[in-house]
Amino acid sequence: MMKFLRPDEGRADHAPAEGSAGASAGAPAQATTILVGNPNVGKSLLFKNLTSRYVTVSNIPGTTVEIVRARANFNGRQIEIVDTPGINDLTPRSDDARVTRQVLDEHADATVVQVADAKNLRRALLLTLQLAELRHPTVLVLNMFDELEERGGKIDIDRLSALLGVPVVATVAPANRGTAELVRALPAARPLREFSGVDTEARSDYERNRALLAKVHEMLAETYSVVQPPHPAFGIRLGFWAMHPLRGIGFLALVLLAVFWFVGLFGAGTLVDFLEMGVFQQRLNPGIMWLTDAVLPFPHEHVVAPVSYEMSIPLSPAHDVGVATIDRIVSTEAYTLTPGVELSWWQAITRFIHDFLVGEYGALTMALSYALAIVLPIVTTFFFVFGILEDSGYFPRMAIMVNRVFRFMGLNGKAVLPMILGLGCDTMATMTTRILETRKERLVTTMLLALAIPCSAQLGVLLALMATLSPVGALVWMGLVLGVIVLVGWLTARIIGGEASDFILEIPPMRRPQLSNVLIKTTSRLNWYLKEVIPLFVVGTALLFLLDWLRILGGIGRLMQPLVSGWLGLPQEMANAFLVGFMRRDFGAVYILDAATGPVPVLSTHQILVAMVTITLFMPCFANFLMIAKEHGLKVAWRMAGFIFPFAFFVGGAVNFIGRWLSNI
Amino acid sequence: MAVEYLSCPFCGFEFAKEDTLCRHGCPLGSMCQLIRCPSCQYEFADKPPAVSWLSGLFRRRQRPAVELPENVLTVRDLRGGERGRVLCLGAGTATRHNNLAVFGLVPGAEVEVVQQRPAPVVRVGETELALDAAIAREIMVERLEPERAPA
Repeated sequence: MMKFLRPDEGRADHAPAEGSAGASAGAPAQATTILVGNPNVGKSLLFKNLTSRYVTVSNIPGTTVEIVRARANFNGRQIEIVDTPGINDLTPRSDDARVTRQVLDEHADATVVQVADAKNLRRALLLTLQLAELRHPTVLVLNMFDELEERGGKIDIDRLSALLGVPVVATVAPANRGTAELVRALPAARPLREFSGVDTEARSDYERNRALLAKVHEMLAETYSVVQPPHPAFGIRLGFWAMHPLRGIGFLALVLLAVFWFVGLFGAGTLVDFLEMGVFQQRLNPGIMWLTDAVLPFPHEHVVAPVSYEMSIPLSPAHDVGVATIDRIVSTEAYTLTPGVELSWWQAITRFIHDFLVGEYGALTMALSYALAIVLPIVTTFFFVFGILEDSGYFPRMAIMVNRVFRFMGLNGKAVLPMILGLGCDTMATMTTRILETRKERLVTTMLLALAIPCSAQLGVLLALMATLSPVGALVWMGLVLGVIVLVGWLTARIIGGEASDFILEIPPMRRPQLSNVLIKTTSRLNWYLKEVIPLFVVGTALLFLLDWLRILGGIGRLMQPLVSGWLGLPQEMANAFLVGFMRRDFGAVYILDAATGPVPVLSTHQILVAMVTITLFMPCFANFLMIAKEHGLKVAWRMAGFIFPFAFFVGGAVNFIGRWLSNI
Repeated sequence: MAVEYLSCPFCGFEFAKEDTLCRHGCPLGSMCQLIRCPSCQYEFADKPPAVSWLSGLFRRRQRPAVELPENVLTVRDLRGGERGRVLCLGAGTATRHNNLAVFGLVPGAEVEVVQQRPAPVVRVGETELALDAAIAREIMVERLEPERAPA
């Protein structure tokens, strides 16, 4: 009952000035308009319509975590438009509310455009009445008006406008309807009417909100009416199924299966094959090598080998329909020096640069082809599917389905969003843990992401590895990872202590995702990801190349031998995999894949399982470590790393010994 | 970082942890483990210090049984499709009550239970709200007759 809203004294005296500034069109050159509203009402989409600058939009409450500003020209004046995170309450109890509050206070003369979900007028008006006390000139936008009509609702806009004393505009943001009307209404913005009969001196925020709600109900009775349509729309029924105890699980399985097919089989199979074999190995790499040889000549001969590319549509992990096969004989990275020729010092330098660019650990042949041919298609397909699920409004329903299990780990269902996003990119997901309310929840989620949620790059490689295992082996791997998640989650939650936050989650209606929105979202995420990832790949490969060139790689391998050969029971070369795994675990996984399925397979099925489990439990990548340090401090990041790496080797070793013991009985 | 709210065990006053008076200018600074209520000046320990993290590992939380008057139910007792009028929000912090209130869930509001499993979902006006079972068990309602669907 503390944390009062900012005292009202001192506001009233300059309120009239604001009012006139908003009402007369010829006022200051740089006017500011602030978009405010409940979560998930379409502020960001409206912002995009007003400014044609895009911010991430999704059908999840709480997507906008930062303030976005943009300029726009309306009615011949330049206006700065500010988008704010969605809030239900102006009380600065959450980060979002505090940020919004701050923006409103910084721009005391700004026009407020309150965006409301037309079908949920009650909550919007509660916020309106809270905003009324700040005396900003205001326009009320009733967004999603089409969904209101679909549900048989009616709002008397003129009456509402008269009651509030401000312009009220109906819009449908996805279709860009009503934007022009809103722009026309902006100069007419006025401070909201002062409402009598509301006790502003109430004891607590809660009491005050109750008083305001009573006022809202009076208004609703005058302006809002609804006639339930006899048959609920398909989307509404689908929404019910998705959270039904039984059908919901079926729905979840169906969704996961679809995601698996699209990302795991189509993305990691068809697309990766096409890019890796068809594009890079058959065309690009030989071209780049030829070019490098032409620029940096020294006497050598590249090994020529046939590379086969088969285009196919996957049906299941083991079946696919072949479409076309292209065989080409091309030169590969391996080469032999022309016998009997001594390299001059100049040629030795060219050779060094040549190896650095296109050698076995080449920045172009290895890093780029890996980043663009293997990671890119997988991540793209994942983010695309994620965008569709996000916009459909399925995730909050998924949160309901998993709330129980997550409770056990000291989390609540809301943590499902970062966890699923982690299947795309753990680093990005670590950033998203901000939407969780308590430190405990953020730490546990960050820990689980770093430990056991494989990111899509790694997942793709792991899926390919899994194909070499028996179904039983794949199940063992999945069971182990899930078991580790639950167990470590439970332990971490118990050790960290503190309470999990209440699970009070609004369930948005299921919507048909808009393709354009999903595409823009996918590209903006990809953009972020690639900027993050490609430099890391190049640096990682360069490091490997230098270690290899300085002949240190072998030495480190020998140092790690007791661990790799003794404890994990793997051949010594696998030390390389774990070494690069420290940098990026998916990179390490590629090594394992190479050792398991390459020209000379050196791993037995048992060894593949051990290596897979170990590398899955590694920290995702160096960027993830940095992100943890940024979000929770360096100390926490070191502690997590100090737990994760030994733990990964411990579990891997346990699988090794138990597996051996089982096969000996 | 979200602000941590505490309520004084003596006078019930709720305040942000960083508002505790002695945090500012006291030479003990962050070494001091006590918190002083800004309203009544009562000093208390923030959290009971755990004997060890091990004890926290195996602690069980028990739920006290509450006997309710005849016609008062909790949201958890209603079945899917049933409606009720909220009587009170029950135990819990003012923060929780306010979090419910901003969705329109206040005493006097009519709610319809959509489902109870896997997690309770209630409809308040046009808002569908998923809750923890523990929260649903706190919210007291009186049962309302089901709304007659228009023919």
